[in-house]
Amino acid sequence: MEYILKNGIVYDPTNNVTGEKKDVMIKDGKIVGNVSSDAKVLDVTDKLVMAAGVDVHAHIAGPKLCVGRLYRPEDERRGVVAKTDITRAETGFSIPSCSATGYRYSRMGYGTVTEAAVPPLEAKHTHEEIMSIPNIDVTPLLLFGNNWFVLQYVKEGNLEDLAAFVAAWLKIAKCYGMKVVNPCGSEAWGWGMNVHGVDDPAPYWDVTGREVVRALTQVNEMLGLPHSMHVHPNDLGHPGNYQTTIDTMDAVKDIEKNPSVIRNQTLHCTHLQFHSYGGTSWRDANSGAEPVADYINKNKHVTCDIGQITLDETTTMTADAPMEYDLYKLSGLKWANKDIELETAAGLIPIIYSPKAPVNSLQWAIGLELFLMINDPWQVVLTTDSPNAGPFIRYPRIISWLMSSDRRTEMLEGEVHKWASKRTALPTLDRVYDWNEIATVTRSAPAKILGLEDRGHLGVGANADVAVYDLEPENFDATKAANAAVIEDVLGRALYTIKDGDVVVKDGKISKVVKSRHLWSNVQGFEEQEKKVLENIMPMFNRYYTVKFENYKVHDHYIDPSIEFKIDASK
Amino acid sequence: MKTITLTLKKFSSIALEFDELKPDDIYTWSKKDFEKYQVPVGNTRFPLSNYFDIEVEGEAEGPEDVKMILDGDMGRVKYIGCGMTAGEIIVNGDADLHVGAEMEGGSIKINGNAESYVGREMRGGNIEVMGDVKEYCGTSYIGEWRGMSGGVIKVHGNAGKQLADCMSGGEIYVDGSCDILAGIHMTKGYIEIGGDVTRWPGGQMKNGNIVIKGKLSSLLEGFNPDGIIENPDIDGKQLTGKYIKYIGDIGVNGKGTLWLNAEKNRDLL
Amino acid sequence: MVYEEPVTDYDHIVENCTCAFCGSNCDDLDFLVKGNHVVGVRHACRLGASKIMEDEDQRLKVPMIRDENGELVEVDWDTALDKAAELLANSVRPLLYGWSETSIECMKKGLELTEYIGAVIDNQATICHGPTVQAVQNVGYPLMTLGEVKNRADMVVYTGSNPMNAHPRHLARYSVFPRGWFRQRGRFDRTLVTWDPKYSDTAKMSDIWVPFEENGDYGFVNAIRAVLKGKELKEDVISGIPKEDIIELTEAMKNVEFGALFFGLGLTHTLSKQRNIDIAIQLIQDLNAYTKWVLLPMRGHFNVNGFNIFLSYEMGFPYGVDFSRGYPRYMIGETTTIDLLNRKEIDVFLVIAADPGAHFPGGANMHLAEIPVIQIDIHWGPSTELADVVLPGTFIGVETEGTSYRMDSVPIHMKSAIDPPETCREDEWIVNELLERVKNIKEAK
Repeated sequence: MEYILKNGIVYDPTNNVTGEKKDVMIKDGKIVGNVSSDAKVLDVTDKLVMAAGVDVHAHIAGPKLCVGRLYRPEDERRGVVAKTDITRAETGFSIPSCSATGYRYSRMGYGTVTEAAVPPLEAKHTHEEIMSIPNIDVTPLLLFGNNWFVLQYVKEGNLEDLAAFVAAWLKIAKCYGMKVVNPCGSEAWGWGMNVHGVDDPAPYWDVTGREVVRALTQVNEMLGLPHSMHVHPNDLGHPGNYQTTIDTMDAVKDIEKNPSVIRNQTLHCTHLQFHSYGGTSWRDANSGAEPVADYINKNKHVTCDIGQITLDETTTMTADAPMEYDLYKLSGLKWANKDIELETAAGLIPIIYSPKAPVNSLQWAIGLELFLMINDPWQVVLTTDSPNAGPFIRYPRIISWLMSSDRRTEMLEGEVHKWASKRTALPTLDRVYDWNEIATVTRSAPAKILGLEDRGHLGVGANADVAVYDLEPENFDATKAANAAVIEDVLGRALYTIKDGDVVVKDGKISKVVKSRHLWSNVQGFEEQEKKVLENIMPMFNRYYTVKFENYKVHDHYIDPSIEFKIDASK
Repeated sequence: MKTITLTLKKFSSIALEFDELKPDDIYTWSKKDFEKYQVPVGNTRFPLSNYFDIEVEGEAEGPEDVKMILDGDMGRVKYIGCGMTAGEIIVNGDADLHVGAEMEGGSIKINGNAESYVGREMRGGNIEVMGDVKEYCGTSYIGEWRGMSGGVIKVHGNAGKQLADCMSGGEIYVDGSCDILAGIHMTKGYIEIGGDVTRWPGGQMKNGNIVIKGKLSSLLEGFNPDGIIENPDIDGKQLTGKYIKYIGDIGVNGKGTLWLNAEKNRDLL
Repeated sequence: MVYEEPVTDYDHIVENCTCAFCGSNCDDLDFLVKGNHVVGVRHACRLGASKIMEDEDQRLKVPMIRDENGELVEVDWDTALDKAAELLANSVRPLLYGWSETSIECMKKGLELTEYIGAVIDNQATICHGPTVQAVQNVGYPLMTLGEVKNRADMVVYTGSNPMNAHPRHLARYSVFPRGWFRQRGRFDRTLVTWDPKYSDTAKMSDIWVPFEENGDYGFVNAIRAVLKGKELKEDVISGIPKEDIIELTEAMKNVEFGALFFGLGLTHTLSKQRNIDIAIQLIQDLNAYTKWVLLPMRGHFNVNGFNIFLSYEMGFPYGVDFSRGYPRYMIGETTTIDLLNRKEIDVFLVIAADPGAHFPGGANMHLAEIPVIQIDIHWGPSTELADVVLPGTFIGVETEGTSYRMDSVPIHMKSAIDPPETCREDEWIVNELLERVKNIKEAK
């Protein structure tokens, strides 16, 4: 099948295309340099054209999603949409059903989404959900930061075996990369406790967050995984936590990146907004964005995604279970929790981010500060840690804020609480993002950060994942406050979304439903060590887990269809 | 004033759903429009005229000018008045689930008994039931901690279990008796029960007032006695007689109030 | 008890099979296979072993249709499937019920069929742990996987649940007897508590038995919470328990390192129903201010939780979902099975992997007796007596592989060890056939 998208205004930062009027040609699911005269013509004259979006961190598939859905029927009811001839019914506002998740990302012009936190014991559940989500490929990240085997290896300083363990576990759970959440803290939560700062040891295991992050980052580079260490630092949500964040980033500064990977970073710090608070309590809390942004500006080994507050009623869900309990103590709303043996924990609670509330307005402003103070858009990705800071359907709204300083001023002066102005530098920041930077933080940068060469851009050979929006960038002033609503509307309903050469969205409606692929990393070259490590840990596994090892893995039929990344660890 | 009279001629054991027939939707309709209308029944729709004889008289400028009269046993007609903002509905018979659910204004009168979910998530308006109501009168949607927030419900008969679950405003009056757990999880609002109450009113309540004029058979430990008040004035409502006052549910650090008629509840003194 | 010789006459062993009985989903079963039969089972409890081994007794082998005389007669697959499809295609208020003893893979087809014909889909939670789901939806869900209890718990409480009869390996494999990482002495490192009006078999082996009076659950837990908040209890006896005992129990619960509460139908089915669990959940949440506490509902079928999880991720709601208007609706008392049957709204009923004839209240079964019922099952049972079309399925976890979710939501892939009888068909195939045939009928119109 051949297509030619004619005369669009293309933004492709990876290939240095900045608002050029050019054609995009597709053949057999790939971007090509030319097509035959039989190619179907899609006239996108003057319209905004980019690669399909790439999300580097969202919670879309897995056990805690189902805890959320099951216990929030009021949220499910809020997002009900009747079925059509092509689409199934949708439910959910902050926690959409699987079909709704796929359709809504697809309508926004996204093609690849990272499921940010998979517990190995329940990885089959994550993959079942991915099989139900249509139209987006998924890169699942496997949780390691509170895993008993990991804690033991870190304590021993045994990086070789730890590397073999990680390689084996990624194969077992069929995941793309590594994830660390509140290292040592979620293990402490097994006893109702938490850790504070990177040097606070977990009870009994006596390892610290710093040690865990360092060890796993070294392992990540030893294995040459396409994505880097992806960390949710300790102390999320606590006033004064910006120092912990900087400590976390600094802890791995000396670790050398594997030369064979395409990414620049050795550490990706996620939902940075929640980790950039100053002050000592919620009374004197203020912005810690400046020191954090400053560190990132000076240190190229770090990338981040923001986790921007959208000022909605949403649901928080994270493997940082003790933090969720803290929120429960503050709000008293219905709190859920799920501890997972030997591996991790999770917590959930509904949250209302109100523009009238001082703390929420502060949080909203801090996220925007980070966007505006970090200079290099290649180090930044636009996310909302969906649904924690807000549902992913708000990405277009956030883009409208980034592109218009006037709109932000409008909000600061008339819509949000004055803490946003008084306790942050946001009123002084008049930088605006242009389409090139937007394309960077929603396509090019996340693809590179994830180590994906075949997407996030429109160069020849890339997957034909394309988004076209009903907006003429050359005739549109995105800096005007009044245009913010237009941007939000238009980016939420793509004129065309194309996935591997299939037109899946037309005029904002789903036109075709395709299966999503599971992307996973198969490390090669460590087989002997993996075998040895499995033999060593098997007695512990057998005695302390409650399932048999044979039944623990993710079988091939759960990842249909998939893309296997063979990682040559010897390089 | 437009008066619409629907007289039941065929009873369907599969319930009809009337959520598209509130005054706001139908104030411009003529008799022909009603006869053309296909009412949802299970997974299908059938002509409304299969089930009702329809009469329409007069004109309406808006929903507030509408009076709907449903004559007959509406025991399998769900969602009567659901979501209405104005107008009047009278049912001369029993009514099925969700009478006046999500109502914002206007009035509904049921000259019979009503099924569960009367006034679910109500925000305003008036509902009067001459007979009994079943469970979850004046409740929230399952999972939603913000329940009925306004409006007035009057029940002349008895109320079933879990009256006004998660109530966050409005008033409910029950002349007869009331079953277990009235006002559970309440955060605001006023409930007055004329008859006896079986067990545990106000369980896990954070705030609000529950008045019991009859006998309460089982009080929760979560309530602390706070004196005996004669002729109390509760949010502008004047009661006569002596009432034993309780504050609770302390399990949730609640500051809600139970008022028990002292005469009828001597055993608690 | 008669001594039985160990089974030695078998051809091979299939290891690590998963039991298809209760929500413990024990996945360490070894099936001893001879010919095409499971002749012995290792590690299963008597409930699981008997289901796995004695399935030939009362096995449904051939499709059947009830004739004009009211007798079930054997027919071929096409005839039976066509009749069932016709009933479903022409129904106005169909209900597809059961699902808790079949695989997730089969449920997918069932949901597709539900969406296509605008039916109500529901599972055994509606008569079992539905109140638990409702309570969770009200106040939250502080859970854990079973291994957390094994490795950390020093106090385990069972209430409204009698695992020694209903989940026989629960204490042995998960909660009390195993030597956990932090509880190396197993039983001796833990205190076992039962709250139950009956002196059940579990109560008999407990260190503490609290026999509050029937229907007294809500008042009893309310009193514990009041004590936690520092209140002096007013009554001397609450729900049949002396106040001193309540105070002592509350102190004990505050002073453990890790407590786990397991609960069952004693809470869901007595007077206050979901409020029993509602307040128990809030108690566990309160206790977390002092020490670590978690809870878990004791699910009764190996895939009842699986259905709730599956339906949640597919369509947002956990059970009792009505698709009649083209979008899912979940409303307790309106879209749930027993209410729909009591109100005589259902005109066609499909039951798969469930036994309403045995488990439903009489009023609901009276209506089932009056309407067409399609049964997909592996055994004769009371539901077969109500069925008008019978479609013989295969045994998940023994003859057919499939995915299930344990009571603590751990997903398990259940192996198959033998071939199904030739005349039976896999559940997934049957439901898919119904879907295809219904589509043909509707599209022809």
